[in-house]
Amino acid sequence: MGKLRDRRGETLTETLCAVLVLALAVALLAAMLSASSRLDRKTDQAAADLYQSFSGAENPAPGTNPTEGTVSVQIGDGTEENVPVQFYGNSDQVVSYRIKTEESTP
Amino acid sequence: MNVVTRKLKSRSGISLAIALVFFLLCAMVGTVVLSAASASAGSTARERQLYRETMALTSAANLLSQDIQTMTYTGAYTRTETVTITVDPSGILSTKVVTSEKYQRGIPKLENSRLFGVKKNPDGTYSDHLHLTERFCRNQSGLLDGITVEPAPQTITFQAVEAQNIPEVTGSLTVAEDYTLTVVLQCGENSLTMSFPPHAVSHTEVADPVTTKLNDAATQKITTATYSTILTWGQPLMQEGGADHG
Repeated sequence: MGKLRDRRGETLTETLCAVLVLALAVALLAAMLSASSRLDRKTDQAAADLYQSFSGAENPAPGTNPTEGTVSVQIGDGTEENVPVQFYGNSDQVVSYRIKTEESTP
Repeated sequence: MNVVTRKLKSRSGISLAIALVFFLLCAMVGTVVLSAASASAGSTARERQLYRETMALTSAANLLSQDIQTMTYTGAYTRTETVTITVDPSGILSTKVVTSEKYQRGIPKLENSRLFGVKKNPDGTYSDHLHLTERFCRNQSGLLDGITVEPAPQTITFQAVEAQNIPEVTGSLTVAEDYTLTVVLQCGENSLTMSFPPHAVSHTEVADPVTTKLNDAATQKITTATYSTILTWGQPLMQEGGADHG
């Protein structure tokens, strides 16, 4: 209460310094919160894409156009068999493959 | 304590100190929030890798399962029994039985498998990866006798040829004494054990006895019996993990 009733004030330099420091602190906090929020949104989007890709790879929707390719299966020391397969899902995320069958050929 | 008390009772300015404390507080709060967001982003990246490994493992297991379940193995076995009956001058009969067994070669052994079918070697010989050749027997119920020596596990590696962000899957295949095929697959920290039970889908026995009179005192009866069995493997029993599949 004494401080509130005190009629003496701070110097102008001290007040300006304090204002500057407070402004810096507020700016820093705002920048960090903004970066954190951006990162959070990005993470949410990445997680949503990941789940969607996983789901698409596990149970491809009817009409999905798979990418064709081969999977190399090596048995024992030397023999290698290239099996034609169809890839499902997003190649940047999660991909599954299945043996290419006659029915699955468009 | 005196410093704090003095500061509390002091009538001089406090703005700068408060501002510095506030600055520190903001920096701390901001750092904590940013760290939490970074940790969340990192966990998504780890989760993505885990999903990729799980999907690669599942895909390899499906491919292998599909191949093994369409595979048939035909084994044939010939048993020749020669019975010679001799009558000596005093009229006493004596019987001598000689048995020989032979596995038939040259028949298609392993069919309908893209992965384990019989392969032609560079030297012109043929081989298969399941090493079932010459271990194919029959028993009275038409099922199969077990193999006598368990072959060493075969290693299997699955790798997508194109860059599809699919991790490599490695594993091993073992043929048990009762022809059960056990496959253990591993990708990253995930592993899966599949056991394919064998089924004899057909079993035939053909006997062809031929009796020959060798001379007045001896008669010989040769019976050649051919047994053939077609073997398939059924739906696998799947178990997560690979260490204690037994």
